[in-house]
Amino acid sequence: MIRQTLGLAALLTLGACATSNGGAFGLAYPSANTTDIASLEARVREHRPAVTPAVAVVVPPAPARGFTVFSLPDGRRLGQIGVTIVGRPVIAGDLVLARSPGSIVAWTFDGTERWRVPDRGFSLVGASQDNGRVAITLGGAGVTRRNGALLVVDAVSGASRLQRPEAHAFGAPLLVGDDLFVPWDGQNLSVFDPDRGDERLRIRSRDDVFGFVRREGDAVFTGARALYRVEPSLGDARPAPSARATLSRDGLPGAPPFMNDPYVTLNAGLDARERVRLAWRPEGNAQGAGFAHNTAYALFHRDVFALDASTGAVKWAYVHPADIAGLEVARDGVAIVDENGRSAFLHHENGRVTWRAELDTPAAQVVMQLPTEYAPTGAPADEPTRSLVEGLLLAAGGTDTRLMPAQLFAVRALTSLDTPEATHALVTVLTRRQYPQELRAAAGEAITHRTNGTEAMLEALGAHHDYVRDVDTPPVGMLARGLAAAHERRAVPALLAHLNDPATPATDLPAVVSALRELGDPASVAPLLDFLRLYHADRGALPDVGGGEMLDDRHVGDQDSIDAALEQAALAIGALGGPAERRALTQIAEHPGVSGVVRAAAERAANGDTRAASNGSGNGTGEQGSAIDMRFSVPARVNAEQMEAAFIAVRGPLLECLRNATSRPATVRIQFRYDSAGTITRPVVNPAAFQGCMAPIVEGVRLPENTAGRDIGTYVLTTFP
Amino acid sequence: MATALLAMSSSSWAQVAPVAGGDDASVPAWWNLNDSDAVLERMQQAAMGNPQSAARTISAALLHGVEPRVAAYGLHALAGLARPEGSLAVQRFLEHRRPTLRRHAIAAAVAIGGSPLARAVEARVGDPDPTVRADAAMALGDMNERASLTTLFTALDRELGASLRPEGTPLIRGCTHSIARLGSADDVERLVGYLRRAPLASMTEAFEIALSRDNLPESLKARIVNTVGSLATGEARTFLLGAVERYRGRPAPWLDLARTSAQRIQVPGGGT
Repeated sequence: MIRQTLGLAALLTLGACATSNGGAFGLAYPSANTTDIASLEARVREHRPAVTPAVAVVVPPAPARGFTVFSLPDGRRLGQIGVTIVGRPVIAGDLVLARSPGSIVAWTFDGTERWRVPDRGFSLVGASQDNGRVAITLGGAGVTRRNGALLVVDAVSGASRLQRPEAHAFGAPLLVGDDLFVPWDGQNLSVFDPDRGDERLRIRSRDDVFGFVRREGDAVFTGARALYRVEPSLGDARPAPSARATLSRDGLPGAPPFMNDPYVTLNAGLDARERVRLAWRPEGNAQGAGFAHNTAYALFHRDVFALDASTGAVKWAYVHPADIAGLEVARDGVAIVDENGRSAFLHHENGRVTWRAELDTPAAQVVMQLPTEYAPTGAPADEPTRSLVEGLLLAAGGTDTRLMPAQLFAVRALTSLDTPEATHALVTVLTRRQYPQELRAAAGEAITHRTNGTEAMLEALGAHHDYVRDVDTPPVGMLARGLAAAHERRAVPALLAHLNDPATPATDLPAVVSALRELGDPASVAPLLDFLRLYHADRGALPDVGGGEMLDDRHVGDQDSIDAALEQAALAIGALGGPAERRALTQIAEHPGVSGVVRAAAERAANGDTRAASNGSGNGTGEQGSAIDMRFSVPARVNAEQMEAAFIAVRGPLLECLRNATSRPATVRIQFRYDSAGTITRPVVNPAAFQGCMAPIVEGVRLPENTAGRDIGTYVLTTFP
Repeated sequence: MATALLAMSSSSWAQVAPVAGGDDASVPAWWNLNDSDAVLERMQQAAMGNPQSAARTISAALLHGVEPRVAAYGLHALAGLARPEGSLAVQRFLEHRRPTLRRHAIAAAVAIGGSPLARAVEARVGDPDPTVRADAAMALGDMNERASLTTLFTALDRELGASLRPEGTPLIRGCTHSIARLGSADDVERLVGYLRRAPLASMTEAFEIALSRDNLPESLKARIVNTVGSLATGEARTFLLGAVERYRGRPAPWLDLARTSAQRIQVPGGGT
């Protein structure tokens, strides 16, 4: 009776415009002005929200049916139903609603069916309970399929109070006292009388989408691609900037939208859209629109990345041992339940687990209802607190190729951290051969840009292949580039050691010699001359041990790399060495077995032409001191930034090559040779499936003129948006 | 200089000795290092002359850089000369990028001998190329390098864990061969314990060596015979009968045991 009186009063005071400007959902219905919205805001503020229990609804993996309700945080099993449900269940106060064929059914948490209403052939989009009513929206086929229904029923009996089948698409509703908020058709957020269905107020989005509506504290929020606080400025032509918030971050793993399409009903059970998504909670106790602790959470199967909503910076990373079937944000953190029914709460500050519980049931999907202040504790004391770098390193690791986008994201996040610890983590990724090549390549590329943390690179470079001790050759080429970029002269002995190590891949040798040349340490002249001597005539076959057929045991393709390294060595010796070394270069150039490129380089260097090594600085003397100085100020090769800039123009055509590919890699690695004029030859594309399409494009790229003479370059095409 | 370089290069990778132009003086100008056929001929001639001088000259020529076929011959010549003056080139070629030249260098190192070369050969047991690993393991026994036993056992464990080949691998054969040659009674006792992990075919050579050693106790040899006999395979029977045949008439207390063990093994199709 009281409820009816309140509804009538509301109609009398607020419904005048509805009756005088056409019916609900009418096109001519005017947009709310600031006064209307201020009044609505006041009503919301005055109506205290009902206390909602913390529960988790666990949908089991097929072929099991139904769902189980657990109370949180104690993990107590409250009830279970075993009927087939279609579409993701919805929690509304003390009820769980789901579509069971032909009906929308409401169950209490103990599994008792409380009531059911016909589904009218639609999926359940959302439901909200307040003041003894339950509002339900049906449809769920997307914002372009404008057919659905708006229902209001008695929360206890299910008796119908309002039935509005409409040629409109509905988002999930929100009941606040006697105001029924409904987003519809992507553009509108209307407030209705929940008993009569009269439209009291409509807020139109001019340049964005309204798809959800949610109460948080004293405020109501809406949006779909951004978060809007329902406040008076939404009635203005230009809402206040503070009324809108979104997340500034591209390149999230799996490229999740700001939120899942609120006009589409998700499946019951495993739905990939729930495993890769962005999660956040509006902050209701602050002014304007914003996120709790200014944090959003990117979920990727089993990885959770906490992001600063303003800057997009990663705050922490958490890797769960199993795939996460459900995730819900509270103010102080995020609750997760995994596929094995293990639940945890991660603190918003550092991702530390502050609570754990076992629900003891397999889960394909978990829907949670959590109060804002939900923040359970009770995790074991030894639960680690990981630094950001440690968390990212964990996220970057592993051999599960399904997680590659998250791993690459973690590597990129590490790259953005300008700390020695981050460099160390990148080196760790780079040196773990069991990690996917694509991931290691990304870490390797990142390392070539680092200017600190060279200790880790030096340490990694100190390792050598040893079959007996099961030690692999480190990624010498990438480490060499990184150390050269950082002007780390302490790397010289280790680089020389790898130059003489037969286990160092031939493809890494040019980078090693280039690094030695750039570092310009006079101590490297003699070993470089030794290297040049030993291999300048090393072409052709030789007899096997114990006689027999002549054989050429050089791997196909290695000769090119060795020649490139010898060429670089000749130029370096010419630049760094003295007259004796130049005489040796002359002798080497005279050998009939020497390759053309090596001969040319040796002759040039022997004649004192250090142009290649000193970048045409006008210093043609080749004297040691001046040449070394030049080396630090002008890199001999095309650096990564120049490489990136040169490829920008063909990025689009290269990405076109991925169109209709059966598998779209996160990155494509392109290795090629280039000369001092910047001409690219012999591109090798990995994955090789794109070789035919990409190679001609790459050959058309012109790099800046450089002093390298001949070198091997690498461009990594990232394929994410 | 050569001695100093040897000492340096075997101790760590970072200290691999540079070979700069200073050795040019050891190569006579009339050798014409740019003519491979002429160099080959000069090497052959030098090898017939003073061994010390020849080894030094050939070593210097190799370090100057020659075609691989010439390098292979040069290393072969240094092996024939067996002079320590050739060590410098041998050591350098143990780290050459061509596995075949590393194998030639191992053969030369065995011929020249000496602890520095043995340590360099020991490092090759961890080589990326399996044939080089096997040659190096085998060579350590020939070089009488007892200090390498730990490496040999480690390599044996590693190879047994990594290889699925039922017939064994050259590295297994090389390790067992060298352990049998170098090892103490305890080492050989330990080696016998590998028999069921390692195929008999890859250990027969090692057991033959152990049975032939005078400085191993007869009880250990009897244990070898017993262990092989317990396999009860045709291969074991063949091994035991072969041993009986080789040692027939010699005062070997384990001979009767070998004969009896062989007779107990039932082989499909019979035979003696």
